[in-house]
Amino acid sequence: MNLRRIFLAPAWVMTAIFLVLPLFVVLAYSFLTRGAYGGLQLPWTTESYQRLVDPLYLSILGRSFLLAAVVTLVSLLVAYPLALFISRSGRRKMLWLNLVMLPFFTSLLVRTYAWVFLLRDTGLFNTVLLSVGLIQEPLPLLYNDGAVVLGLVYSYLPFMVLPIFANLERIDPNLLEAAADLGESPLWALWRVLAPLSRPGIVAGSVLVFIPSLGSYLTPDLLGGGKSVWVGNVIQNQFTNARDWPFGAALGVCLMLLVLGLMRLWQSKGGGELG
Amino acid sequence: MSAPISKTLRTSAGLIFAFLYLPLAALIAFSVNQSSSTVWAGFSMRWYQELWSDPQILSATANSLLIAATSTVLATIIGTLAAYGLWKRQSRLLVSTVYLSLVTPEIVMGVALLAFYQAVFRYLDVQLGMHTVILAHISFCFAYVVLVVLARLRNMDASLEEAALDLGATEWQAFYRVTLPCIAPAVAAGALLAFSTSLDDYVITSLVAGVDSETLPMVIYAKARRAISPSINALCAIIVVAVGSLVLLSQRLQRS
Amino acid sequence: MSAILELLGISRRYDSVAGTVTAVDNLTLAIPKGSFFGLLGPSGCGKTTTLRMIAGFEHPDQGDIRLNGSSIIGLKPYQRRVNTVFQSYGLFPHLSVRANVEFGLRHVSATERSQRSKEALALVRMTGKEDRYPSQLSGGEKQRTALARSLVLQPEVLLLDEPLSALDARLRDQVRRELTQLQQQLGITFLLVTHDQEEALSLCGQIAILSHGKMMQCGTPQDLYLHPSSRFVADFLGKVNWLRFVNQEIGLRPEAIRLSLETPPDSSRCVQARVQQTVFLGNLVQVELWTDRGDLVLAETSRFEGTYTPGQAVCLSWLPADEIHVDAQPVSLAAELAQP
Repeated sequence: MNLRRIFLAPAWVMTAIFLVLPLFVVLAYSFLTRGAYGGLQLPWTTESYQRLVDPLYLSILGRSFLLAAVVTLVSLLVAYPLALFISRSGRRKMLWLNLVMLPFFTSLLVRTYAWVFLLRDTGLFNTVLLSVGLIQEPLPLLYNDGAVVLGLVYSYLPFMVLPIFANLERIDPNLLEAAADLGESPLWALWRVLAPLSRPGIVAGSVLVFIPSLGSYLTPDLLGGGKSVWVGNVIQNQFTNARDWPFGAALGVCLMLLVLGLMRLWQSKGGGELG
Repeated sequence: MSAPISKTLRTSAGLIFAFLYLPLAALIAFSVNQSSSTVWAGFSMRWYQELWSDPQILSATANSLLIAATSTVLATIIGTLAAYGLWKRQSRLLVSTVYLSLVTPEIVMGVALLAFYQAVFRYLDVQLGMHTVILAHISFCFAYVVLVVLARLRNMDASLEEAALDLGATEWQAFYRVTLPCIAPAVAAGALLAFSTSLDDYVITSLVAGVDSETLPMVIYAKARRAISPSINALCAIIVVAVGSLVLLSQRLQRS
Repeated sequence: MSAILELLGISRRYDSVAGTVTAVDNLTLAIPKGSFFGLLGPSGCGKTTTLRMIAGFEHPDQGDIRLNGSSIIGLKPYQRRVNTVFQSYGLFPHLSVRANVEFGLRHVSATERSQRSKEALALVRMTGKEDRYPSQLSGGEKQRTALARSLVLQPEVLLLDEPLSALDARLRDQVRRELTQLQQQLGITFLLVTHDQEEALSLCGQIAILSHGKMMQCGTPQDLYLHPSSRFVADFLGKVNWLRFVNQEIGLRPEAIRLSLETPPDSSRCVQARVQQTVFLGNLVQVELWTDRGDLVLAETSRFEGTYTPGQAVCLSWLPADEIHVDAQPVSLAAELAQP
C-alpha cells in the first residue's frame, strides 16, 4: 500500500540518519588514530581495541559489570516484597502501583541530585546524625560505589517491581492454598512454590535493571564523584577531557555489543517485548 | 490474589515506600527552607524568587521549552505515522531499530551523535546549536510515541477502517476521518511522554548542545556539581511537579 | 430474473502454517436482482472470504466478479456500488448516529445530505436518536444505524455479515421481520452470509450452500430442504434419518415419519422397528427406534399421538414423495438461469 510506505518514510529517514548512521560513525572512529590535538586522523588501526585489553580498562569493564549485578540483586531484594504486598492488596492494587511509579515520573537528574542532597557531608543525613549526637564528624556517605548503587537501585526500582507484580498476578491463587493444605508453612510455601513460579518476572525485571545500570553515566558521575568509575564515565571522559575519541569509540562499541548481546540472549530465552 | 498480608510484609512495604519518597520529599521541603543549610530555619520562598530573577535560569528554561515543543511536535507526527504503518503490516527491521533507540545507553547515543555531527560539519558550514539538539531529541523521543500509539492501534477494531472504505472513503480519508480521531488520546499521551523526556534529558543534550543552547538540565547539573545555592532545590521541586503532572496526564489519557 | 451480481469461477488461496489453504475453490454463482440471497455453510467454508471479495477487501486469485455485467475486480472498495453491514456493525465511536449515517455522503450537497440521512433513519426507525453516540445504543439500535448508513448510499447490492448472530432470541425474530420487510420495500438485492441455517432459511428467497470453498447446492429453501442433492446438504439443513429400504439407502426427515402399531392401509411405505427409548422434550416426544435392518431412526411425535414404550414393536411409515435420495451433483443456479 502506497499510503503505508509514505507513512513509514519519515521514521526510516530519522532512524537511518540519526540512529544507525551515528552508530556506524562511532564504529568507524574506533578504528582510527588519535590526532595530535585531539581530533582524528588516519591510519586505520585496531590500537584502541588493543588498549582495551589492558588490565586497567578490563578491570573497569569488569567492575561496571559487577556493580550492575549488585544493583540488580539489591533491586530484587527490595522489589520482591513490595510486589508481593501490592499483589495482595485487593482493591487498592492500582493505587499502590501508581505510588510506586510516581517518583519515577520525575527527571532522572533530579532524582539523582536528591541523593546528593541527602548524602553529602552537609547533607540531610549527616546534619540529623550530628545534631542528635550519634556521630562527631560527617560520615563519607557520598562519592563511593555504595552511593552509586543506592542511586541506581532507586532510579530503576519500578523496572523490577512491575514485571514481578505482573507475574504474581498471573499465578493461580489456589496454588498457595494447596501448599498450605499440604502442610507447608507460609515461609516454605513462598520458597518452594511462589519463588519458582515468579521466575519469569524476576528474570524480566533483572534484565530491565541490569542493562541500563551497566550503561549508566549520570548516576555514577554525580554520586560517584570520580571515585566510582563506570564504563559510561570513561567514555564521556574520552570525548571531553581526554580527547581520545578512537578509544572512547571503542569503549562505546564494546558497551553496545554487551547490551545487544544481553538483549539477544534474553529474547532467545523467550523474553517478551520491552515497554 | 488476596492472601493475608503478614506484619513483616506490611512493615517492609512501608519502609520501601518511605525510601522511595524520602529524597523527593526532602528536596521539596527544603526548597522552602529559610536557611541555605540542611537545618530547618522556617518557611520561605526566597529560593524561588532567586530563580525567577536569574537570567541564566530564565534563558535555559526558554531553551528547554522551545526544544521540547519543537521536538514533540515532530516526534509525534513521525511516531504516529510510523505506528500506523507498522500496524497495517509489521516491519521487523523498523521495529528492531525503534527498540535499538530505547536500549542504547544514553552516553553511547550522545557520543555517537556528537561524532556524527562533527563528521557532517566538515562538509556543511554548520555548528552545534539548537537545531542539533532538536534533531537529536526527535530521534530518541519518537520511539516512545510509536510504542504508545501502536499499543492503542492494536486494541482498535480493524473493521472500522474497512467500514470507512466500504462507505466511499479513500485510504487516506479512512485514516484521517476514522482512525486518527479514535487514537487521539493515545497520540496526546505519546506527545506528553515525548515532551517530558525531551525536557528532562541531560546526557545527550550536554554533548550536542552549542554555546547558545544551554538547557535547564544542564543548569541543574552545573549547580549540583558546585552545590552552592539551594535554589537548585527549588528548581528541582518545580521540575518534579511539572514533569510529574505531564506524565500522570499521559497515563490518564492512555487509559481512557 | 436477471442476475445483478455474478461470481465467475473465483478462487482464493492462502499460505498458512499448515501449507496452502484453498478458501474458495472455483466458485460460480449468479445472484438475481432484487432477491434476498444467502450464502450458507459451516465455518471455514469460504463464505466470509467470498463476501470480502465482493466488497473489495480481498482479491480473487482467479476468476471474475461482475456487477450489472461489468467487472469490478479492479475496483477499490470505495469505488464499488456495494455496501457492507459488518458483523460487529463497525459504527464509528467518535461520531453521532447522524454523522455515521452521513459519512459516505461527502460529495453531496448539505441539504440533500441531511434529507437522505433523515429518510434512511426513518426507514430503520431511528428517528429521534440522531444525536446519540454508538456507546449509548443497544445492539439492535446499532444494527439499525449500520443498516441506515449503508442503505443511504443506495447500493446495488447490500452485503450482510451474520446479521442475527449477535442478537438474543427475542430480538432475532423482530430483526428478522424487519429485514424481510425492508428488503421487500426497497427492492435492493440483499446478500446474507451466515453459518446458521435457521437464519438463512427464514430470511432468504434463494440460498447457496458452501463447503470447503465449493458450492454444494443452490436453490430456494424448500428445494434445499425437501430435495437436497447431497448428504452434506441434507445433514446441514436439519435432521435426517438415513435408513436402508429395499435395495436403496434413503433419507427421511423426522417429521415425515409416522408411527403406528399396525401397517397403515394407504400407499405409504413402511418398515418394522422396535422402540429403543423415548425422550420427553415438552412440545415433542422424541422416539429412538431400531429398524429391522439395524438402522437407528429418530422420530418425533406429539404427546397427543399415543405413547410408546421401550421394546414396543411399531411400524414406521412415510410417503414416497418425502424420501430423500442423494446421488445427483450439486445444482448451480447459473445453469438454471441459463435455461430459457
